Amino acid sequence: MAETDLTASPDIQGIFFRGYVKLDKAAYGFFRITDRVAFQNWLRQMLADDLITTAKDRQPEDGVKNRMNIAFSAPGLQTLLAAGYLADGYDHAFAAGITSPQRNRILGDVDANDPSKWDWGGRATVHGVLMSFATTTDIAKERLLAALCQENGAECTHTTFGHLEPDQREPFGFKDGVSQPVIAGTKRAEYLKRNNPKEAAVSIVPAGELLLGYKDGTGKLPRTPATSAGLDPDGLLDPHPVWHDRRDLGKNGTYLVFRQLEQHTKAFWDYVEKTATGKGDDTPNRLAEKMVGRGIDGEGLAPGKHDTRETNNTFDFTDDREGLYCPIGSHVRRGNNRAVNIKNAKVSLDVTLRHRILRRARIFKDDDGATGLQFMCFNASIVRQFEFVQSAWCNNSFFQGLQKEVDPIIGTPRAARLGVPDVDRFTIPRSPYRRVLENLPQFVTVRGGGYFFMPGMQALRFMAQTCRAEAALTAGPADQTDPVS
Amino acid sequence: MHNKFTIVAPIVQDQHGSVQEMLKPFATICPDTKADSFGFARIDTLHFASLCIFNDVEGGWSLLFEHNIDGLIEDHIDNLIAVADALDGGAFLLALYRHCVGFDGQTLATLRTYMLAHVIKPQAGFISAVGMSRDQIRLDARVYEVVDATLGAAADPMAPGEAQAQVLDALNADPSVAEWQSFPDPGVDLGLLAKLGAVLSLLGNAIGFLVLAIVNLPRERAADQERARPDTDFQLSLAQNEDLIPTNHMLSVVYVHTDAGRQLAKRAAFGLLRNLVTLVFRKGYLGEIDTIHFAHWSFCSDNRRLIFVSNYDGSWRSYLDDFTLKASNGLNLAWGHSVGYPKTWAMLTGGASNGPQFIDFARRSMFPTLVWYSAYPSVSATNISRNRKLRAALIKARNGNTDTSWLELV
Repeated sequence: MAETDLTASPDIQGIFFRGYVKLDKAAYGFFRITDRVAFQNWLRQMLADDLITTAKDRQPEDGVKNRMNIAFSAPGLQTLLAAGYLADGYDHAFAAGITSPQRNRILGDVDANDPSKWDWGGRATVHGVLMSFATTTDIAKERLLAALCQENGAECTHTTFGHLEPDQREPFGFKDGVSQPVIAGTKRAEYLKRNNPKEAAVSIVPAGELLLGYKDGTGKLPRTPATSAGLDPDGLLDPHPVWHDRRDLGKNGTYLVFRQLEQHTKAFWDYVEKTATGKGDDTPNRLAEKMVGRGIDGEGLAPGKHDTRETNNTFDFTDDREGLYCPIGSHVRRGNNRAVNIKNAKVSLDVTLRHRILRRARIFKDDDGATGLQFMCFNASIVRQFEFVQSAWCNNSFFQGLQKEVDPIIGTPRAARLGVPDVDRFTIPRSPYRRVLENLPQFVTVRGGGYFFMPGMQALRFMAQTCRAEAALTAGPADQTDPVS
Repeated sequence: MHNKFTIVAPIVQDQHGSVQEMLKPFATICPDTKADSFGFARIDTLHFASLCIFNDVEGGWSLLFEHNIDGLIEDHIDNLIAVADALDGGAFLLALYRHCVGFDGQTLATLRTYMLAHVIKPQAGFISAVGMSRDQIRLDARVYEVVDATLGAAADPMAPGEAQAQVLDALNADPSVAEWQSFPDPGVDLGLLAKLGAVLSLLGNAIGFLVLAIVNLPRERAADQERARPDTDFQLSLAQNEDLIPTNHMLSVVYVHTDAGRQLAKRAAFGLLRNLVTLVFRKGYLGEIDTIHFAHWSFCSDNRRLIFVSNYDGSWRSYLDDFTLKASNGLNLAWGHSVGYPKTWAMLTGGASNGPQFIDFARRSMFPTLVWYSAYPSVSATNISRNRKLRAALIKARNGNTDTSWLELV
């Protein structure tokens, strides 16, 4: 079956495929809905004015200065949809929210990362995020505030600004976003299959791994949220694939994980400066690269040369099971362990591809000098993808035979408790035996976060009219009038 | 030799709340936990233990006490009773079991009899550290620690020969590993007779299983599936005591179909699993999975219900994901013909390969673990197997072997 080109879909919000790299400045406004009728009116107007942009709206050509997208948290959808919010159909991590104590443990959001200390998303409930991307910070901010600071039935509770570096460097200085999943059937996937089969093998995932409404890696449709058919008198939505009497709110939508991650760049480089002996390979840069698991310019750490865009993803770690090139516990290897998840390389790759996420990170730099990532990723299931990667791989001290360490970059070191020793080191396999980096400080602190759902455009149109539909339902039959005497 | 078993005792009507109150303060117990009214850490035959309560529409609530041990069940229960006696004259354990039906509540001697009468042995199970006693696992772990400390950060590594000499000196000088070269490792080899017996039993069960699989097919395909999702608060109640340490525990109790055909098929399937585990999965791996310490399946409540208990590394979600992606056939053999289970073909395909539906089924079948004890929370199943290899190599080194490739294990 010939798929229509998803990458130009008028129903998928633009940030998903586009990334808006030319609109390299961003403003994010977190809001709380105070009046759902007013908010739906505002949303309807935003849609009518084409202010929420889609994958069909091409990369900004001359003259295009701004793009906006919107996503909602579970309490946000609950407020907006009222009885149309059917918790059962949502990913359960999304429904429970990012800040429950149980989630904090598996995500590593404890101690310094504790949500009670966050700038946003921790204590006060966030209902959604409006994202504004533009050529300058002023435009991004002005458009964001113009949209949010009107009578729109919502209050803006927090704003944060981000940007992209010209060469995609993150604050530690490493080239970021080097390895991304590629959706099967897209032009990029076809190109890779023809010209770079090695990269294709470790990168291509079915659309349903990242977008709702398409088949995923198991050949089935991913779970998709449902809503009440009674609130959809105009038939804006498709029938739900499981509950046929309900409507599918998920089609062309995706879950968005947003985490504001402060990076302690000085502490990071001070640590490697202090720790490196300078002898042979034991240099500050090399230790940093071993922790990240890539060269500073994005080179793959694997046998052979992997230093260009064409070659920096053409490896699967099967020729480096011991981690002599790319340490087993390094950040990128934990996050995407390719064909070495388990012994069998083929099954291993299948397993890994069920846990990929599409990243859209930007960088923040506050006036007080604090800097880091506004980490954003998209996935079809937060539990199976983002949370799995974060808990089973990055923050798991028993990851692949390791014992006393977590991800050296985004992991949360832990003090000894309940018979488990301190978890605060990093192991670099070497010959004749391993090098250990001890007493690793925490280089990244979580400053905010939330789980959101970024609906497709048709779902947004539906959401903008449920108050009206509700009113029509309670008004009774339209033609019923008092008998004339 | 290992044993794994549960003691399942019915709770007197309306007293399950009191049982829960008694157990709740403990959650996760490790060897240095002060509040340990069972004295788990003093029972030197014990690897993992857990207590939970579960209910049954017909039978009411039951108290389940899981044990994963070295040696014989009788000897272990003697140890449990002796430790309880030494701790508080048995007051806590007696008070707990006074809530159970049919226990006269008098003395530790009668409790011993009561417990033995309620022991349920597994149909099949898996142990990664084949043959290793609790004490060996702990000794091997201490040996690793000494080696790790001797090698240090290794910014400037020693020559292999020098490293080996220093490690051997450190081991010989450390009283905490005094037995490092003499403590026996029983190994993982299976005797010829045992092997032969397992092969024959495997064949017998395989034939029975195939016949029954065909006989049961119409019923299997017609069986109802439950698609309900576990609700949020229930998930929270399960997650409350999870992920406190990197190893975790799960208890699941499902209803099984009770017609003779499917009951027999389950016996044959467990016979297959049991013999496969005995013959094939002896090196720490269950297929591609290397994160399970101890797990087992057993029947209770007149074979109407199937208990699954597991002590595994990593989070619940990753454990179940491993299962669905890497071992769905094995899971179908064990869990097929359970009420509400995702649809299978011949108890082999389908079922658990339907990831999300299976994961919901499994989650909904669980009961919160109220008390859980691990005798070695600092090591994963993979660490245990590494430590075993390491000590074996070091013993060879001490006996004059100059091969220093063991350094790569550390």
